[in-house]
Amino acid sequence: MGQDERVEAPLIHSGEWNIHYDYAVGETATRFFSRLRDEGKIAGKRCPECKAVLLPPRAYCERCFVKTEEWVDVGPEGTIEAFTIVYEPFDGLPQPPYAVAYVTLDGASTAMANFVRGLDLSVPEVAARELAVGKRVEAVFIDARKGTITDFHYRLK
Amino acid sequence: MVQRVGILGAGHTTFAERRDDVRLEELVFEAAASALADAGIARADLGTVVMAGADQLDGRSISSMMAAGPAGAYLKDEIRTTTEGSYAAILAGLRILSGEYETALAITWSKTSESPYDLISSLSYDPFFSRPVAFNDVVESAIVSSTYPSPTVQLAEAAAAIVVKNRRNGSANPRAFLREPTTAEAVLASPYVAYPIRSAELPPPCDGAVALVLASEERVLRSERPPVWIQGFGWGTSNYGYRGGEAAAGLAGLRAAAANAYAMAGVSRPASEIEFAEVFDGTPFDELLAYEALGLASQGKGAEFALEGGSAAGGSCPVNLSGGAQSTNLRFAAGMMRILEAYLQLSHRAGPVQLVAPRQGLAHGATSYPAQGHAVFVLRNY
Repeated sequence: MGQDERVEAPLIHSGEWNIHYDYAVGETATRFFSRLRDEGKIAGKRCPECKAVLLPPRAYCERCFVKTEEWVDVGPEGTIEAFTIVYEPFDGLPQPPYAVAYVTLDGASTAMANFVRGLDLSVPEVAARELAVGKRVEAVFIDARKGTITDFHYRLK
Repeated sequence: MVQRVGILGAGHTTFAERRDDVRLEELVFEAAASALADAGIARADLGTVVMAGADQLDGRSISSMMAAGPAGAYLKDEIRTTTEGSYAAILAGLRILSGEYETALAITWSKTSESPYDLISSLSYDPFFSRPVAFNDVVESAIVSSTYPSPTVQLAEAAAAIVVKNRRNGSANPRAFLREPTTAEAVLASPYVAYPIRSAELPPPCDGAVALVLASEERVLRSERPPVWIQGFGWGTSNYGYRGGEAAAGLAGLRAAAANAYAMAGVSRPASEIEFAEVFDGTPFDELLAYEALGLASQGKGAEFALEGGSAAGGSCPVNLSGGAQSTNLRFAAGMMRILEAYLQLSHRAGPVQLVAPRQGLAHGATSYPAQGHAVFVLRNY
């Protein structure tokens, strides 16, 4: 056999999977999302040992490794812990620009992420100064709530 | 009991934006064969093979099933981790220390031209509280960066300085994928992708695979090449989510990993004892935050360290003389490439980027999912 000197463009074979999941939300988060939808309230769960109010709520405290039982209403105001403003589009994410922040709501021990709306994002440095770590925000509930985390968003105080 | 782990040899593939000339298995073979040749050992003499791969990036479940053969593991002991490339070296090091194996091939690959990386990174997030709020690697990386307590202007300039430094270093490194320097003006003029991260701070990814051959102390001392040791290694994971008062930029996971690696290596003053470092720099903020977490710069002085040239070639602790991931963005395999570059320095085989007589350096790998998993390696040649 002689050397085959043909130069061929490498072939690409495509594959695609459309996989649907049905994630069980669990009793704890079900109650959280139901109250969010029906009453416009945000509630965390308090650890009976370290007393931390966990938000998003958890059925257990990871540190103390005990079940949580007590519900505590938190917010609606809180403090920004971290943020970003997204200016470029990504697969599977919303059309930019949009702002996202981790906020520790008053009465909670942990921060929860959500969109920050109602802010002019057109000049990045200006918007970033408004969203700085330590700034105060409040949770704003939308009218058409569906029992998901985007039933509310943050707005600068 | 084996006393310490050494590196017998290392290898990597050529890097390209797309390696369409090879299927994934062939890419793995290229790196494994290169590492075995460099180590001067035959596959038959290899004790165990440790792989690091991510099924969701590879587009194959149990991707190690196809990779084991080309990695050299045919009818051999093999195991895989899915955390991040450099964790293959952690696991391989532990298997050597167990005394079960004299040699171990640690290998990882990243062929992300085949899959939608950003979309896949969104899969890491909790489907109830996080995914509906638009997360992926870049967004989370930007969020972590926002908690660094530094004046905004200084932070932006330090980030740009790190990109300029690493791209300049990479331009001299024949192993680097990107070999073109850039300027601070160009970086700072590029648009924000996710504030504070700019488009010129996110290096274009490349395809490739990287492998190391690790061995017991006894086996390394039988090699003809001067030894290089992984004198200490450690790993750590940061909190999932944020507790009040724990700034994400503190990188608790990296501090824990470094503390373990330093304790094992007997390093008590990293700022003076670590002569150079190869640090994860998927964004310049990753490198900037690592200066303090690794103890290379004092607390709160990371940005100054970058701006005053402490991490530049000729600085007190040159960081990413290889060009880092800013020049060779191997994504999942970026951490293993850091170890390879640190190894080549201590083996006096780093080529144009070689330091004069280095004795001890550090390599750091991180899950690109920011502020989460970190692996730290202290390498020395004495």
